[in-house]
Amino acid sequence: MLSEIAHIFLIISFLLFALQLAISIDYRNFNLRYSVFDPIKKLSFFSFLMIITSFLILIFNYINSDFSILNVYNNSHTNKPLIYKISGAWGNHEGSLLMWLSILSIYGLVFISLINKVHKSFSFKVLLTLGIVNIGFIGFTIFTSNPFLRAFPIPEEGLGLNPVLQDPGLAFHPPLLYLGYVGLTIPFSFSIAALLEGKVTSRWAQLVRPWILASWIFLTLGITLGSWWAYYELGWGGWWFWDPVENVSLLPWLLTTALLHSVRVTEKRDRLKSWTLLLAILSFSLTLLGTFIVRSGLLTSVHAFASDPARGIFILSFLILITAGSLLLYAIKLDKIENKKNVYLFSREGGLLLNNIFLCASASTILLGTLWPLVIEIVTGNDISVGAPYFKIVFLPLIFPAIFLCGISINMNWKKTNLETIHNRIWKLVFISLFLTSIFYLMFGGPLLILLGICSSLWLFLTVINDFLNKFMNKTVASKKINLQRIKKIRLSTFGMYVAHIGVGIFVLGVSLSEGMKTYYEGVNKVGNSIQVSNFNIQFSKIERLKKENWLSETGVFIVEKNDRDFKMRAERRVYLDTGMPTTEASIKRDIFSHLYIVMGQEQPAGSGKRVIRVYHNSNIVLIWLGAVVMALGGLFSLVDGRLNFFRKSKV
Amino acid sequence: MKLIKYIPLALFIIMAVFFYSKIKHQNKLEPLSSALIDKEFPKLDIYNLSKNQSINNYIKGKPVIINIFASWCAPCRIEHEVLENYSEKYDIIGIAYKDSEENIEKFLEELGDPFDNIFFDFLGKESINLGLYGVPETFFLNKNGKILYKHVGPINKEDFEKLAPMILKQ
Repeated sequence: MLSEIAHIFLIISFLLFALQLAISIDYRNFNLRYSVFDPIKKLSFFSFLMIITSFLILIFNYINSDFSILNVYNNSHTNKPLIYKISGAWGNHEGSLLMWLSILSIYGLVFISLINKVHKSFSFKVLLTLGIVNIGFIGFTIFTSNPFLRAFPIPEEGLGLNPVLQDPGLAFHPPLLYLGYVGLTIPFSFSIAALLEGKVTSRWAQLVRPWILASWIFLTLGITLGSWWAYYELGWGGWWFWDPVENVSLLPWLLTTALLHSVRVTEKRDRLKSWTLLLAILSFSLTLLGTFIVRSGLLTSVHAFASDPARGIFILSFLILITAGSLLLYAIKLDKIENKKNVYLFSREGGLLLNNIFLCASASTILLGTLWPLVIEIVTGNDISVGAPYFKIVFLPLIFPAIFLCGISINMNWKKTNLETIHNRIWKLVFISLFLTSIFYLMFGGPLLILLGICSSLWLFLTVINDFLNKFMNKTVASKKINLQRIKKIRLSTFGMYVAHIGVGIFVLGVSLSEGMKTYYEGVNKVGNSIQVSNFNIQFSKIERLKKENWLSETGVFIVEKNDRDFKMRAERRVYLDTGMPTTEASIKRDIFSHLYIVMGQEQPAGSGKRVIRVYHNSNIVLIWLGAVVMALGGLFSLVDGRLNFFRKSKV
Repeated sequence: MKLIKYIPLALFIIMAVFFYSKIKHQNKLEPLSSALIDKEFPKLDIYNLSKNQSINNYIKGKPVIINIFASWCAPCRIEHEVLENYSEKYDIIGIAYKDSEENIEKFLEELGDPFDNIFFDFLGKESINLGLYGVPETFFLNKNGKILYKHVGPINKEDFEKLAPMILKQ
């Protein structure tokens, strides 16, 4: 009964959004009818509430293991722990779409609660754009992927969640990522509204920036969590695989990062307006494109959902409607928006523009690499895979100059900076980072690429610290004292900027060090064998077999010896009873930033006692995720700063 | 220079057309094939309940469609209507997979009985010889007992109409 209510709620909200569109257009003058603003606000409010309620009902069905719902039957099982019953609700195609919708609704509710901050005619257009996006997604859910279909007769037991997904990392990876993806709908709606209004102001940029920041933070965390999960659960020993689905999640991130920088220019200097709009439209379109590629089964990947051509056609039509529509609107209205103003190359905004060019260039190379197998398949009929080598070749040459310029532009002022001032500020830093890198080389050696990576992360740290110190130095040359009073004047968002860029530095350092120093072993072993990997001596001691909650476990016990100290490591293989699917749980020994990582394979042939054992020593790999989290933290500082400002103002 | 602003739109449209053709192309993909295709139906140790007749004896010398199903299987319910529609025209035989006689009876009472005969694989062991991925699966056999095609998952009307006539051909 409950699920029928949820189903009806979805249908009603679909109709309500359609109704809103229908009544908001004045058909005689072909204009918008602003008089219906208040009813539309209320209608949206109720529709959003209904969508959220129906998602809560789905979760409730999962908690109760109500197998009369086909979706629950297919993806759940009574003997799953509670948390995975709940996460099962979004661990499948239909449920995840409903989650997508309810997150969109939450954003919509937040927007409605802040609606008085914006001019009425503007927020009217934003609401309408949100309505169109909602119609598309609710339609997709109702017509092609309904989560509330009934199963009859009611099965006794469910089929179980894909065991790879039964993991805390993955319970939270989709919600975080969706918070990011879906959040981009708001900047998109703001851009469409701005295009319709025909003007972009710095006030507009100021209003849209928190939304972009919030999405960016969630995207960063979501991708990081996914990468971390893939690292310890899939047992491939790496942290990024250039898998098509990983790539399509990275694309919106790169563009949102670019957008975050360009909207800052629009806010501060009233420039790059059309560019900001284009980025907002494209980053949203890329999330749709990602959804399309993943949900239509067009590219094969670890994230494959059950594919269905009807779904592909539906979401493709929606993608075309939204993207082509907004790009057309963009082309038509463009002349009104940009009143050609110069951007000096030697200024903060010049640096940010270059940053944008690099980010967009890397996004396009990744897009090309991701879609290339599809193109080739049409031409030659063969399945090929553009693997990590392509991405490394095209991505790396873009990253190093981008980081070098990034360090410079952090030290530049808005409007115009004298070339000589920049030179005075940073020439020392070039030498310091080169000097430190050569010390590293003398101590550890290493290939050029790794040294470049280390050099560029040092460069970022130094330039950030330098700009920070400059802020408190007295400007007069005579008294070069540190003035602590000035620290109060530095805004929290500036700190956020520093922290985020230090995060980038940590990330680059982590990638360079872990790539440069990793060691890898793979071989067939029996109990009793020992393996030597870097300076670890690993002995395969025994196998333990156990029955756990809903899986059978085989655990290989390894005794690892390093510098006369020894410890035990346990690499597990699980066979889940409900689905019979096996998974590997890598054993990871953590040592501040480094990991020793052991994966045990299946006994093959059965009874022989022979297993493939893989050992990775990943030094400093934690820095990669740490860097990403620090980036997100920086974003959070900037986000909080804007809010604090807002509260302060409202007190006065 | 005026056209430059249409470039994003143009690029996107090219990409969209490409995707569209790609999806159309995807529909034509070959379904899962089986090692048993073009081979004779394997000898199975399963019987119907009333006459204790073995399946191999029963299908000898006639073109048949063999559907593996179970009362606990949700997709089987979806395809049941299709089988029901063609039960007059073709000889459709059911193999009840890991199921009890009672449940099967209830199942057929409720949804109708399209089967000319039902054989029981109570433990599900014999169906392994058919290379079963899961239920439902449908085998198409000509009168020499040769497997012409195996369909995995619930079969729809279009596929059934396309596949079934070939069992009658010489």
